[in-house]
Amino acid sequence: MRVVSAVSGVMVKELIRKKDFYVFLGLLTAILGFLSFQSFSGIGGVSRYIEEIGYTLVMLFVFIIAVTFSAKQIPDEIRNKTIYPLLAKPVSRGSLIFAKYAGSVLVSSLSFLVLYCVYAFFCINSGGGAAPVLYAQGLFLGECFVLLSCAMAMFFSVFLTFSANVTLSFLVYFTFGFFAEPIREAVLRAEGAAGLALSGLYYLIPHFDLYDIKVRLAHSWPPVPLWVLTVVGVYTALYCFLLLFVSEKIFSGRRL
Amino acid sequence: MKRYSFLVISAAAAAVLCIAPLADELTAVEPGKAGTGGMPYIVRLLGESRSIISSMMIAQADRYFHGGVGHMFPGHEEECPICSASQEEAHHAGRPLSGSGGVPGKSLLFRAAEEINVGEHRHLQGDEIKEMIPWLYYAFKLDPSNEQAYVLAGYYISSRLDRPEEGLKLLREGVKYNPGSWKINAEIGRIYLEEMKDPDRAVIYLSRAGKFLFEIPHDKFQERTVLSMLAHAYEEAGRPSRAVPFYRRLYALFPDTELYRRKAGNVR
Amino acid sequence: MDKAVSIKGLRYTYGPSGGAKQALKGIDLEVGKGHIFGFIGPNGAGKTTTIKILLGIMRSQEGSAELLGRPVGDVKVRSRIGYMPEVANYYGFLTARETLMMYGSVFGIGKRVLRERSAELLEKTGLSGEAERRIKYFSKGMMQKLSFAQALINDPDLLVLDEPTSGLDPLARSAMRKVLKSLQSEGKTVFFSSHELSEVELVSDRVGIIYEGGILGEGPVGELIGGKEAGQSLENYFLQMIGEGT
Repeated sequence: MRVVSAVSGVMVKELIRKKDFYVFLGLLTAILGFLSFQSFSGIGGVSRYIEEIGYTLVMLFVFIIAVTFSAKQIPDEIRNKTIYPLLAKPVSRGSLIFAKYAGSVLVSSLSFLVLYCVYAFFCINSGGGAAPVLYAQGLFLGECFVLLSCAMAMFFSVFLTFSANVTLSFLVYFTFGFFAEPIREAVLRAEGAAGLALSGLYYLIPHFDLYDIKVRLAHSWPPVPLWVLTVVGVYTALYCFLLLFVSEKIFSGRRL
Repeated sequence: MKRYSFLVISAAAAAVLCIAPLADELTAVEPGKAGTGGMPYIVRLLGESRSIISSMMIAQADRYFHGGVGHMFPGHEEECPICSASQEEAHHAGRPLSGSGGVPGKSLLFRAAEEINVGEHRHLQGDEIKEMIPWLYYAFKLDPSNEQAYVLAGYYISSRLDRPEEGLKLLREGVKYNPGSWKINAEIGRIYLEEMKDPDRAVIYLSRAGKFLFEIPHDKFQERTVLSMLAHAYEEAGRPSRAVPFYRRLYALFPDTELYRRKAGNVR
Repeated sequence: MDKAVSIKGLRYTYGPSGGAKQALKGIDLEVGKGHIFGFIGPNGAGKTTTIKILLGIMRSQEGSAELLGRPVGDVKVRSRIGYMPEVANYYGFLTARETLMMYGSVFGIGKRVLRERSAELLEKTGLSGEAERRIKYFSKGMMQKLSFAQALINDPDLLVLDEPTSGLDPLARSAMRKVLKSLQSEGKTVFFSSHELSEVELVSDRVGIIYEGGILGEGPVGELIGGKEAGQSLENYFLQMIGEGT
């Protein structure tokens, strides 16, 4: 725990002292602020497009923060040789991986919380605003999204360079962001060996579509059933555990 | 040489794309104005990609009309264009849902994913219609040659949101950028006829629409759209005799329609 | 005598089998507790490789090593060890004080004790005036001093220093020698590698010479030098050993 606390404390300081998060905060505020003051041929009080665009931006920015923070931790430590003083302390490689992951999650969660609050403010201010239970669900699913994004990037970071990691992470994110439904339908229709392979691939790739409730939030649909949140939570926990377990195994055997 | 981060460049791009429309509003660029090329700054910045983005905006408006859910079954988007608003109930009545929204998943994960995605079918009602207006607005602002965007926006603002003056204002802007558009002129005529109860003005615009329509290849359904309204406008304006030639033409095109046969004076 | 460092038959090879470089060819070495041991050798001899294996950063392919009676893979024993790396790189966005606090917290030292100890170490290394400055603005010498300070943060029983005087001015080197001697008087053990043979001669009790992955000689400084010609320097002895080794 003290390793986690020490390492994550450093990462929070890094978030605060570097510019990246403030750029996203400024961008989000500027875009949503601009959209809030728009009227369309004399028609004001429109809120759904602000809610949808805002939610998309929040998730995209949080994903960028989560992936870039997680992806650079281990490669930067090795490149800058800051890993040697750390590993010379009573810190095993496994605990270092976990500590870096915990730090990335903390940093990304803080960013998500701030951006989500800004988003909620603009939603309510524009005259819209979903039911509080939907916002709470959005918060829970967003947090699961952060956990999985960081775990995925951390896993890639033990054997990929930073740029390869970020590229692959974005590919996975946008694949399921845009093509989730066609992929599901293709998996359902496929049969035999192809069906088996496709199903295997389907379950292997992280399902970022599970965390996207912008349609429900923006268009006043009912909240997600509780059993779905439970399934998503369990899926996230298991997947993250698997990714971190394999990351630890790979990193422990890696020559520095 | 100083290195600019991706984030700074993105922020700059976002600022430019936000400032350009503001600049257009302030400078009020008019088409054909000497020295400006007649195009808004945002249009000049985006180039030809604006047409594609404009079409995507209309698709977004349609999605918003359906409560954020896209068209889910094959051919739906052809049968339920949002411009055919008066026919929408007939198109949707009794249609079963397909697509992932209604298909049972193989596993818990599948079913959870399908539950997260909304699969029900609904339309915006009443004042909710205003929620799709921003996408139509951006569609015609990005691509002023997109007539459909003007027509749809004009229809929904004037008829569904009960603001005919606002609808007419933006349609007149559409005419400025598309002076030969029969669709925009027809929509203006329809608004004058049905919302403003001004059949004389309606006749002017519908006649213009008819003139433009006959200059281009068209089908009988498009002819019916214009001529039926024009005939009705003449009747409302107290000049029923002027409507007869149009009813005759309509009867020739649609001989099975009893109304046209009656109004054409039983002329075969 | 209790051994602080014990190495038996250590072997390590870099790279794939076709173009491999054997960095350590089965070295044996022992360092007793309470000694200052100088580990000297030319560039590429295997000094840093040995140190990294001792600290568990790398794993040897053959042989074994122990620190303070525990195998080198034992994570817990590292709570009694202080390490100063050859290249002093730390997190540039932290201040000197924050760096010491961060590394100290890994050992589970309480915040109050940590604050006091950090201030004391910054004073000892001449960095108290730069405590709140971000280390990305530090010079090489300042980084070395900070690196030495973080190695002492946990009051270790065994100090492992890789090229500790690199980049330091004569004044700073003299200060470091004093600190090492005072640590020895407290019963601590120091194991350090260096190119600066004059420094090694001034401060070490015992030296070990490594050359091309093998130990050429090891023993008390006086004995090694006196064993050849009386009055010769460690540098001359070293050069003679290298010459005899080729």
